[in-house]
Amino acid sequence: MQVKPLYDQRSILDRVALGDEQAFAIFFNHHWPQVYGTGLRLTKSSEKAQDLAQDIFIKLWENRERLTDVKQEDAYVYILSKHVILDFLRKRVFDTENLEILIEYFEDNSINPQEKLEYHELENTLKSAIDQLPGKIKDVFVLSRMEGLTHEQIAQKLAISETSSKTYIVRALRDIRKYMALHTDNNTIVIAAGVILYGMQK
Amino acid sequence: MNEERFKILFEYYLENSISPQDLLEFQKAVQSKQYSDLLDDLLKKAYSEPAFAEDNPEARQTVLTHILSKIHREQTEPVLKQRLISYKWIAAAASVLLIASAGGYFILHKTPVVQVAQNDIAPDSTRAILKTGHGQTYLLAGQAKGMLYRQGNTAANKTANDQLSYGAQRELELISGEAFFEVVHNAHAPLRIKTPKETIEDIGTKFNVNIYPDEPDSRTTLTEGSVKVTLGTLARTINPGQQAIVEHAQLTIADADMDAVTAWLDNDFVFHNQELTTIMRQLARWYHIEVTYQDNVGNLRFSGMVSRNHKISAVLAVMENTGKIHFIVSGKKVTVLAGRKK
Repeated sequence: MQVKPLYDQRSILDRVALGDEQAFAIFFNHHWPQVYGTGLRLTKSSEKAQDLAQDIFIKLWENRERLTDVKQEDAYVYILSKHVILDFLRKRVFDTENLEILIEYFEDNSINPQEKLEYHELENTLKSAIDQLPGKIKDVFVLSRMEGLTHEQIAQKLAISETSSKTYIVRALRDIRKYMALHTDNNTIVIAAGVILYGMQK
Repeated sequence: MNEERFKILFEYYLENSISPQDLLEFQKAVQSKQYSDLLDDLLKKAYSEPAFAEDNPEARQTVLTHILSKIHREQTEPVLKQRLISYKWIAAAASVLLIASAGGYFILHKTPVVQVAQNDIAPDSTRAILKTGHGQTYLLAGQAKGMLYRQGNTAANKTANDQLSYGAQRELELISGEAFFEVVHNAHAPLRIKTPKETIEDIGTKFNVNIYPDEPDSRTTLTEGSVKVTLGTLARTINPGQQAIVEHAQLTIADADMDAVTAWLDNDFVFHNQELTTIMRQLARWYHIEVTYQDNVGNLRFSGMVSRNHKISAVLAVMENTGKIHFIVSGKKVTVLAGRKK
């Protein structure tokens, strides 16, 4: 799990507003995963997602002076990009030319209803499993897997030792595995749960 | 279609469980703008959904460099003289940059992800011919520091830094091509280079000569020392950073775009705001291709930098990414067409 570097919002926004390119690069890297990732889901194409991200960030740069007044940064990024995104969707994703490409994409990448159901069920079972964890163990697990803290950070936050933090994780995983085995039908699903657990680390 | 249905289809679309019919229905609904407000709402949620966030470090770097160069391009005012004097390039880490002056641009990394086509053409050096005062013919592959040469019909490739002796008069005739000379100056017998248009005499040490029959002028660019260029009775001395240009029997001295001129020494093509026809001519020489234009795009101007070590498909791909032109390659023939590849 990567620890996200500290993002000094006020300082970065003010610097970008003044035309500081280095600050813009930091701003860009901070927002990129969400902008690109969502774009990927919308366009189903890495190339298009990049183009869309580019259009968005350029618009943000062109309007950089407004950043000094921005308080809700994430919301602002979307609000400013709204028209760019809609325009892009209408012209390059849902235009007639691209339709064929989308259909081809879905032929290779669809998830069928049965799979979807199974996946949702799995997710719910996993959520319950985590819920069932006893007090401190649950806290440590959540901090580690959901919020991406290191053992050192968890230890500091919960006033426990690093060793305890590590031990708690071991126990948490063991308890979750037990719960999943009890509440799901076959072994492959349990393996899949391991995948979801890993996915949670991101 | 109602709002609920629109929401459901949107969700199906996002999670890749939408059928072709539903996709069509959804597409129509989006284009109709009927549910614009709802779509806005849904998009807003999507852009704040942490599960959707995903990184792609290569793409991230590409796009960032691209944006930064656009920012810089808008800040620099290119001087549209015949020869650009200075043009600040953004030192993008491990990337290659191509901009169409009319707008539109893209960046390709030095290790391109382009698939090498079956009929791809590997780079080959062009040959310049050198004739000495004694009538010996040398074939130069000028694309290296120093020279490779061949005597008459026997191929004897000696590599860079080899010394060529030219006979007592130290006179060379450069018929066509491009060569970079590093000469040990001998005041008693200065090296003289004769081209079809003029004579170049070295006073100093390092200079670049460029003459091709299909280019309208010949150029001598000095990097170090000084060089005297003679045309008939007219002689001019040039200093480092300058170019002597002979065109239509006229000799002019101008400031050289040093990056562009000596880029080939570093194995790069560099063009600053050059017309496509000029660029394609350079590529034709290097890759030994035949270029034809299906559409009238020769006047489009490009700036860019590409390593000469790539196969041609990579170079063409970079240019195609501008969205202004695309190419069809068949054997050694390259056809240039307007617009994006379909």
